[in-house]
Order: sequence, then C-alpha cells, then structure tokens
Amino acid sequence: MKPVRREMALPRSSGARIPLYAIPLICLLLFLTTLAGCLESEEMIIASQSDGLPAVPADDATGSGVSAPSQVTRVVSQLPDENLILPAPDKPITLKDSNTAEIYRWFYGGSYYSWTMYVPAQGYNYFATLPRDKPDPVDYVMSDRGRTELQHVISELISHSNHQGFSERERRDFIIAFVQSLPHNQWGSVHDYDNYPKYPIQTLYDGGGDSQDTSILLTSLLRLLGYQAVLISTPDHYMVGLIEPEAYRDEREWVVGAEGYTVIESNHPGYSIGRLPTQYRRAMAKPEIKIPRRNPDIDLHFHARLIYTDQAYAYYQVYSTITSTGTGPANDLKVIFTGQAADGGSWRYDEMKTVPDIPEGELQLVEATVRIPRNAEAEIVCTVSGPGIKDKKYFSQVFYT
Amino acid sequence: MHRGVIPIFMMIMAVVLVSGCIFNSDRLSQVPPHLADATDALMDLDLLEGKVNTFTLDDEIWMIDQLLSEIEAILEDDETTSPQYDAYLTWNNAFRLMSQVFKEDYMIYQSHLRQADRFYDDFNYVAWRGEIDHAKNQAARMSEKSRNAAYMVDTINPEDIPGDLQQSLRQSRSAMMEIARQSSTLEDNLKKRL
Repeated sequence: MKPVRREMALPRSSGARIPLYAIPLICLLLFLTTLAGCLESEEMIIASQSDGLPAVPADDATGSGVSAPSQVTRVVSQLPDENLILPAPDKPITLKDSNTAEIYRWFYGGSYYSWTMYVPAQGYNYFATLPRDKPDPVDYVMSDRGRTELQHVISELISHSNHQGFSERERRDFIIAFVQSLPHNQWGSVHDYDNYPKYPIQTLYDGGGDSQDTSILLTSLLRLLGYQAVLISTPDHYMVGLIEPEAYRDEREWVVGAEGYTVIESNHPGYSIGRLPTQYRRAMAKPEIKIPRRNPDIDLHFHARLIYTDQAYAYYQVYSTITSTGTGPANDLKVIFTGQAADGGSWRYDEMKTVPDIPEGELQLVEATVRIPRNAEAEIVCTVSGPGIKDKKYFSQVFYT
Repeated sequence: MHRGVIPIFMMIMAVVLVSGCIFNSDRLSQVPPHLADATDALMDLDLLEGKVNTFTLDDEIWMIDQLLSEIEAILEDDETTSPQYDAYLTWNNAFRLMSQVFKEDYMIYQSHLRQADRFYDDFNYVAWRGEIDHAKNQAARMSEKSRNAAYMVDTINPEDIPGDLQQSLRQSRSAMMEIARQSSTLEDNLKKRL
C-alpha cells in the first residue's frame, strides 16, 4: 500500500498551511537570532586573530576602570597614594633659559679666594623641578643626582688648595669657608630653614640656601673628601658634625653626641670648626645626629589591562613603572604582581619578576600577566622588595571580572 | 786486564754518549708541541672579555719547564742543541711573564677596582680616585709587561727553532702585543672615569 502524505498532521488554527520545508528554515532563523543575541549581550570582539587569542570584552566607553559587577573591567587603575604630600619651595623657583657663570668669593687664612662656577640652565632647571621625594633631608647628602658635577667641584677645590700648599686639615677648613661664604646663604633668623631640602649641587647652582641646604652640601663635600661627616639637625638650625681626634676635640667649643661630633657651621661665614652663632645655642639642647647612608627606595605606578578571557579566568597585563627615588641605585629588586580577592574570597595568584638594577632617578618598565577568576571582585597588588627596601605594596582599585 | 775488554768498554762508552745526545734531541723534540699549545692557550685569553683563566697556559709552561730542566741536567757543551734550548727557554719565560700578567697583575687591578667600588658607595671621592689611579697604573704595568714579553720573543732567532714552530712564534708575539693593547684600553677607560 502506498503511503499517503496528509496535511492534516499540522494544526490549522491560523487557517494558513505551512509547508514542511519551512521547519528547518525556522530552526535556522531561531539559531541565528539566538547567536546574534549572545554576541550583542557579551559585546564580544575578536582580539588579535594573528596570535590566536580568544575573544575579550570590548572597551567600555569611559575606560574608568570601575564598572558594575555584571561587567568585566577592562582597564584597572592604581589607587592614588593619599598620604603623599611632597614639600614645595616657599617661593616658586624661576627657571633659567640660558647658561650662567657665578663667581664665588670667600676668605680663608688671611686671603680672599674666588672661583667661577658654570651653571648650565638645563642642570639648574632639572634640579628645580625634581620632586622632593626622599623621606629625610639626610638622604640628599649621598645622592647620585648631580654627583658627577659635585665631584668636579671638589676636584677643582682640591687642586686649588694643593696649589696653595694647604695641608689636609687646611684643605678641609678651606672648603668649609667656601660653603659658609656662598652669596645667597640665608642666615640671620633664629629659625632658618624651610622644608624644601636642596640637592647638594643645586645649592651650589643657587649660590647658597638655608642652613639645611648648606649643611647637606657641606656634608656631601666633606664625605667626598673622605671625612665621615654627619648632619646635625635641631628645630631651628642645621649643622654638620665630624669626629675629630681627641686632641683637637678638647679645644672645640661645641661637641655633641655620645660619639663626640664636633659641630661645624655651614651657613654663616667666619665660624671656624667647633664654633656656633649665638642665636642657635638654645636650639642645641636637642641636637639630632643624622648619619648619611645610601638608602635605596623606589616608587611604583601601574595600571592593568584586560588582554584575554576564557570561561574560567580573565587575564590582565600589568604595566608598571618603577622609579628609583632613594639615595643610590636600587639593586636586585623583585616585584610580585598579585591578583587577589577583594570580596573575602581565598583565591590568590602571584607572578614574580626580577628587575635590573636601576640607577638613582631613573626608571624601569616591568610587565606581568595576572590571572583572575571570572565573576569575582578583585584587586591587583604590586609588592616590591630588595636590599634596603621592605615589601612596598601598591594597590589597584577593586574591579570585576 | 784482558785486551778485548778495552774495545768493548770503549764501545759501551760510545753508546752511552750517543744515547745521551739522542736523549737530548729526543727531549727537545717534545717541547714544540707544548709551545704550540701554550701559544693557543695564550691566544684564548682576553682581558676585555674577562677570559683570564691561565690554567691551560700554566700547565703548558710547567710541562715545558720540566722538559727543559731534564735537558739542562744532562746538557753539556753541546753546540747543536744549545741555541734551540735557549730559544725555548726564552719563549717559555715570555709565556711565564704573560701568565703573571693575568694571574697576578690583573688580579691586583681587579682588587683596586673592587675597592674603588666600595669607596664610591661610601661617597668617598678622594679614596675612590686613589683606587682608580692605582688600577690605572696597574693596567699600565700590565701593558708594559706584555710588551716586554713580546720583545723577549723578538730576541729568538727564527733559525734556532724548527720550521713548523715559526707560525707559533709569530702568533705568540702577536698575542702578547694584543694583550698589551687590551691593557692600554683598560688604562684609557679608567683615565676617562677620572
């Protein structure tokens, strides 16, 4: 018996007859609609076909780094350091537009001396615009910034004193007299320094400064000469200290500290080693001895960008810039980039990178990829450690995957 | 004494004497390969690239020394072997001088640089400069010593050594002059730092 195809098998409620071939067509349309819906809702883009990476979510319009929990954050920013307030000069520094030459004169051992210093505008402006990011004024003493120029200065002063046939002690006193006599030294008032320490060479470029600046400069110069000079700070005045042989120490008017540092005035001309202007005698009740040292430190800035997602994880590329802000180079640094839960979860992902030595004032770029589970509230933490640098942590904003 | 004993005794004496000469020339012929190897070892050294391990060179110098001292012990007024022996001795002394450059002078140079680094970290310019100055002078001494070694090699008469050693002789001299040049480069680099 021949089978009979009956159209009665289909409902006839609409009154219209639907042909059989329409069913796969409808299925196909439904599938396409669903697929289009998925693409639209996920805002997928194909990332880097050439390197075969899977799709990542499209950039949000603002790129603010913070998005609603349902969205994946594409750009993650670092939390600003709210405690960071860098000291600024009392008066704004006028930048130079041309090189100059300054003549410095001083009196020592019954004679007047003069020395002409070339002040390059570029060097002057560089120091004038450098942030004062070292934690203590004593950290400026052994700074590598301007060290070559300072070595040139001390070399000139040594050859000057050799020419005069000075002994080692006379050479030291000759250089003390030079710093004391800088033309723009701001001596006279009872409290005579601000909170804006200058780099040693900057004080020379400026032709002087307050007692803090000239003490930093003189300590630097004495250290370059081979003396273990220290900085002596009081609430009103800064000075320099030096340990002398006992025979000399007994003759000095001012010797402070348990080790017996002879006080050296750096800002007032005419004060020999161990003597101090009268107005600072009261301040000497609580002198604080600060020993200069190479004190490496760093500052880190970073942001992260979503580069890759799969069903389980979102991958963020962290771009960090490490600046050596301490005294001397930052050596043997290690950075750990951590992705961790910000919502109390227990997951954590670490990626460690070693950093080449960074000379003082220079910066190094370090990148790493951090893996974060999907649908999590997370943060990225960069932890830097190294000799003299103890686990400095930098946090990102909380973001969502 | 039996009459036949005398010629036999004379023969024995002759054999002993001839064997001594053969022994000498045999020993001398063992020296050239070591001179060639020492030359190769010297050519491998480089002050600028930090290739300063003199182990192979010292080994060869020691071997040559042993051979020459054995020859010296049995050597009398042998006209044929003396100039060759003297040439080898001079050459080996030149190698010894070069070994000193690497083993002693360069180490002193390095210790001055390390000390200079410590003074630099201590912000002590005067002492740093002093150490750099010492290192510079040491480099100058190394250069002079290397040149002296090359001049020693120059005094060797090429006719006193076998033909197959001629190239090694030239290479030795050239390697010594190259090390003198490298020492001068080290000296110049330090001059620039001052």
